[in-house]
Amino acid sequence: MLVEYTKDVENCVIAVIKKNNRFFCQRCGNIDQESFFKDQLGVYCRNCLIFGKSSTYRKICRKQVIDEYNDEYCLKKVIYLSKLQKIASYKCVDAYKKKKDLLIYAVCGAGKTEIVYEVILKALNDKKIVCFATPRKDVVLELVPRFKRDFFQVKIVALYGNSPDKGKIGNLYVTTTHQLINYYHYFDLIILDEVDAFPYYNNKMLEGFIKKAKKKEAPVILLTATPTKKLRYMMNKKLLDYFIIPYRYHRYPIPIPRVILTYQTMKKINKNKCPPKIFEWLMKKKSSDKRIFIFVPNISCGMQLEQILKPHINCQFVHAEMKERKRIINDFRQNKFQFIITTTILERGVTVSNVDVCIIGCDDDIYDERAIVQIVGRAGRDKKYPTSDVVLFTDYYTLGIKNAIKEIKKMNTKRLENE
Amino acid sequence: MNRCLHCGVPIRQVMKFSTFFVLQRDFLCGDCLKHLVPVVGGCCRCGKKTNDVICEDCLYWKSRGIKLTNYSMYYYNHFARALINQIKFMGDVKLLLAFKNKIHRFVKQKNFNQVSLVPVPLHQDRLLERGFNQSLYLAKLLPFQILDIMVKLNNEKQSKKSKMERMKFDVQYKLKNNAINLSNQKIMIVDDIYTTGATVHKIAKILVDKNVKEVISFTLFRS
Ligand SMILES: [Zn+2]
Ligand SMILES: [Zn+2]
Ligand SMILES: [Zn+2]
Repeated sequence: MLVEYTKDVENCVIAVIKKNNRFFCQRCGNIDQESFFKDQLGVYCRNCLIFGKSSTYRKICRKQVIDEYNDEYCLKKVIYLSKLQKIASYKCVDAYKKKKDLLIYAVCGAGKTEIVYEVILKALNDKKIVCFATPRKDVVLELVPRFKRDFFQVKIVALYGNSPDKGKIGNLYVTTTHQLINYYHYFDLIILDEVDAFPYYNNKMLEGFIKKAKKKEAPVILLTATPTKKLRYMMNKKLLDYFIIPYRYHRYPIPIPRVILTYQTMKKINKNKCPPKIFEWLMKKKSSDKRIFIFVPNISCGMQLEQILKPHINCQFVHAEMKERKRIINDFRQNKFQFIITTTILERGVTVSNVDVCIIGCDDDIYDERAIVQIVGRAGRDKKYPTSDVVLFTDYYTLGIKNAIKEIKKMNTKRLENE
Repeated sequence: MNRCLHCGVPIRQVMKFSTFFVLQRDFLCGDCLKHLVPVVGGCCRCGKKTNDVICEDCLYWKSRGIKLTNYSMYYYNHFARALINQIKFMGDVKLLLAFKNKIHRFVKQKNFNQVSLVPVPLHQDRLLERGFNQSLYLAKLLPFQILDIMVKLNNEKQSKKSKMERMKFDVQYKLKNNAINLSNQKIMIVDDIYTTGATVHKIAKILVDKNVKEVISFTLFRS
């Protein structure tokens, strides 16, 4: 069933209702009383405000849709999986059959997407509706052509902010997690990629969306490289089935980041100066054939740095709100320039081979353990170039840096145990 | 957890000496707060950024015979626009809470004597759309009594009109009860933004015709 805004048609329900003396948003599933607020006409939900106001004086309409299926789906070509990928793939199918949730904890570059191919195919052949949800629009844009190629007979719907596919009906939905809000008890299987993608990500909101979008019994398969505290707790207490893939598909270890201490990095950049150690590192890279990711903590710092470095190296700054963003990322992929400066926004789902990575201002709050692990995961993914130099420039050691390095080392030793 | 009402990042509450006595919660994060620019100087009558003592718009209003002083708290910059957007178009009235303490400080500093507040009314249709009248909510944050005496007649948007059209005295607002006695009252008109001053002056004119003693206006932003 589909949910959308309309005036007064059949099947309408009031958007925010009071249940057991507590407010409940029927659209986003929010029950956190803190995020309800009273205005002149009633009470509204602040949790899903970006989708339009959901309140006690508004209605949402649920509309029935009819699905169409082909008889039999198959993959365009055989996907080769490593031993652990195969086991993981089997676990997914098993979880789907038993209608149980499953967590696949795989390091960055382990090939998570291929792991779920089999379970997607299985579900589609059972005449089910499958949803592949990810927090980032980039990932949707990257995955859809790939899915369209591999699942060539399947009707695939891509959903994000202003996607042309909105309102279309298909069998496999590749969507940003935000778009799940438009669905109500709709999916038979949800695959949730990179659950913890945003800093300060409102997981409560996401949980509500998923609960609402999936059919009651439908299982959720979570894919992550950096489990949240809550997921780790659930793994430890065996509240959730999980499977760990500690190495990458090419079996090389994840590069361990080097820490280089700098002094008053942000202040210097603000004064249009590049700290000498950073400059030195970049100059060394200039003469290599490597491509460089430079991560910065915020937009203003990125813009400053681009200005400073432009006379010396071929670099471009890109951030989330830029219009030419797609083009710049594409240019970088096609090797039109060597250095890309970016905020954390590219940290997931974007694959470029033969890269070195550095984080500038790694002492910033946004670089927690998970963000650092994700960024390090950008490096050395290609079989042809499995090693790379990863440097964290920081004014001091943070807990995030320590834990991230510990976690990477831990996964690398697990890899050896598995050999 | 306490999150910024605008951008949603968690706010770390710093224990200040004052927080022991008054529960002072921050509603905006530091990054957001630094974009709010307080109005200083400018036109002596309305606060517009200008090198003249009094701005052109105000000269026009003066020539129309209306005595009024406007008090705005912040300049209407990019960030203010985003806030207004969140309040008016997304309908998030809670964001106004962020200004509660700041308004109190402002009132103390400007030392307004007992005034009665007249919030700029909102057309019924718009009220149903938005769920609240932001001017009324702003007025509620001021420590004075509110007189709900005005109604808006048509549902035209000011922002869709040219400046010339805006500055004409057409009949957009009306007293609910024309027999009301307002003589000798000191009135403060409350609105969210002051652009050309048209809205405020249209209401002021009605009030002046009712023999009020003095009219001033309070607006959150000055464009
Ligand atoms: Zn909601
Ligand atoms: Zn903020
Ligand atoms: Zn003026």
